[in-house]
Amino acid sequence: MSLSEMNSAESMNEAAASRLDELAAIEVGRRGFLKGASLAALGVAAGVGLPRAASAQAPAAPPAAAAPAAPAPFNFPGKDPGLVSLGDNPLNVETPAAMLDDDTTPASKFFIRTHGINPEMPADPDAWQIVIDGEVDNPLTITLGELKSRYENVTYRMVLECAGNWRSFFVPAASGNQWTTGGVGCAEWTGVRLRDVLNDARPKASAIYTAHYAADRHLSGEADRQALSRGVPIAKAMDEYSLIVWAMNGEPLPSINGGPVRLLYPGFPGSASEKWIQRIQLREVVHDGSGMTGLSYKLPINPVVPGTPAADIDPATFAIIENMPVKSLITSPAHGTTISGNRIELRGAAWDGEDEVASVDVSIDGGVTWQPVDLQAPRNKYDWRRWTASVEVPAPGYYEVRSRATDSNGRSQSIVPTNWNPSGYGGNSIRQVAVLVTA
Amino acid sequence: MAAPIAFSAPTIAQNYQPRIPTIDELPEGVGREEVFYTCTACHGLDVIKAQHKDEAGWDEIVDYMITVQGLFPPTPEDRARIVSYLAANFPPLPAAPGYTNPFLR
Repeated sequence: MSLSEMNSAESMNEAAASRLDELAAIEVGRRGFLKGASLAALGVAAGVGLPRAASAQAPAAPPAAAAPAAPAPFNFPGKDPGLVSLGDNPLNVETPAAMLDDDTTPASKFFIRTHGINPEMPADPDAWQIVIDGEVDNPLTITLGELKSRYENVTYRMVLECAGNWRSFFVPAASGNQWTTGGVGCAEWTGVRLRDVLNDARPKASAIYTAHYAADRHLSGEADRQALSRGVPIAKAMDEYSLIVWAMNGEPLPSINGGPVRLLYPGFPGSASEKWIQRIQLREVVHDGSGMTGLSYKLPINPVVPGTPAADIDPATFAIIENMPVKSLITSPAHGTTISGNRIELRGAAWDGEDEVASVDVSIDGGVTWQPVDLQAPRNKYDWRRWTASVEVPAPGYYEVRSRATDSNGRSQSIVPTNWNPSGYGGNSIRQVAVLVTA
Repeated sequence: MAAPIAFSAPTIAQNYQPRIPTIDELPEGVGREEVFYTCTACHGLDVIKAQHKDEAGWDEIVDYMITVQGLFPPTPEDRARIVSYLAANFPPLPAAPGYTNPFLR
């Protein structure tokens, strides 16, 4: 590397370091948290490096001094250490299937999907402002406190799922965070209907799409760049289950999951449900913000050969995802469990996007035979359906147990990953847990 | 039901700071410095290590970072070192035996 190139690289790193120091200074100044919290409480495993805030205090930490990063339990206040981190910057964390065994996913087990630099929880969440503007006759600025008091409060249990959930099963490997099956959860969300608020802003007939702007910043720190700015068709925004939410399972929405206030569009890719929402603009065109262009959050209309470079694909042959596919998981027993007896007692969940789960079947012989499970009714549309099954095994030994959900249109989970695309969206192939049965 | 800790210490719980990666977390080799300083200006190393690509695939990622994510374009020499380092250290996963897709390049 030439000197000028090195300088260029260094100046980028300096810019990043400066941004980190700025953030650290804010933290130390506002909260003095270095006095009150151990490194472990800050989510840092010993020996794998210093947190950004600590770097302000110890800027000379030599790069070569740290030991190689070792797998460590996920360490984040309020989150279960059994969660699995896919990456710490941006932070993305998934939930092992056996930790989705609660009927309602606790906040402590709920997955984390972030794109940028996350905002802080404000001292007064109710003062958080949301702007409604664009193709409306009556632009609004409303605080969270006003939202809570002015509009009907509703609570629904609904699935929120990352569009990239199941990505890691694509062959060849697709680009992005390698989610297995844990980019999903089903919580009770409390908020107001987005349509109630939009109607007060009096949308014009020209409004066909929403554009969301949130408080997270792009990883580069550049102010004019959005970490994520997605939108949905106006019909989805006006759906009775499309909400602005501030509570999860009856508690304030944790910041890392979008608190104090986020959008919730069940059935759509999770990215549309923007966290830390500050502005909802109605547009006369399909939104073109970050995450809306190129092949982002789109699936092939014309199926592509697996491995095709994104640059060789015309985005016009892809369509924006507006419906997540039907899926199921076995949440008990956990993968790798040894049990005794002649039956395997199964628990699980099945969910769908805009359609409804009609049935779930399980197989212990690779799909040679299937048997139906007992399905619980959903509480409301977009809730998942919990299920149980008791499967008799013919002999002690090794079994792979598979579940397969089918929706109200007769569509099932795919038997293998299919409809390959460069970013690995839309996967819903049948999964399995391995169980050893002893006499 | 949320764990009480999620709300008993909100100011800390709500404040996530990613750790600062170090260069020795990447395998040694030509291009390691270019990769480290170019990529970690914005993001961590985990997301790099989770990808499995040949040179064409990594080149596509560099294009994405420049055109979509605002990466200042590396010099052609740096870019070549970055791409060859990444392809050497984070190559495509081996294909499962027994089936070959005739359309794969």
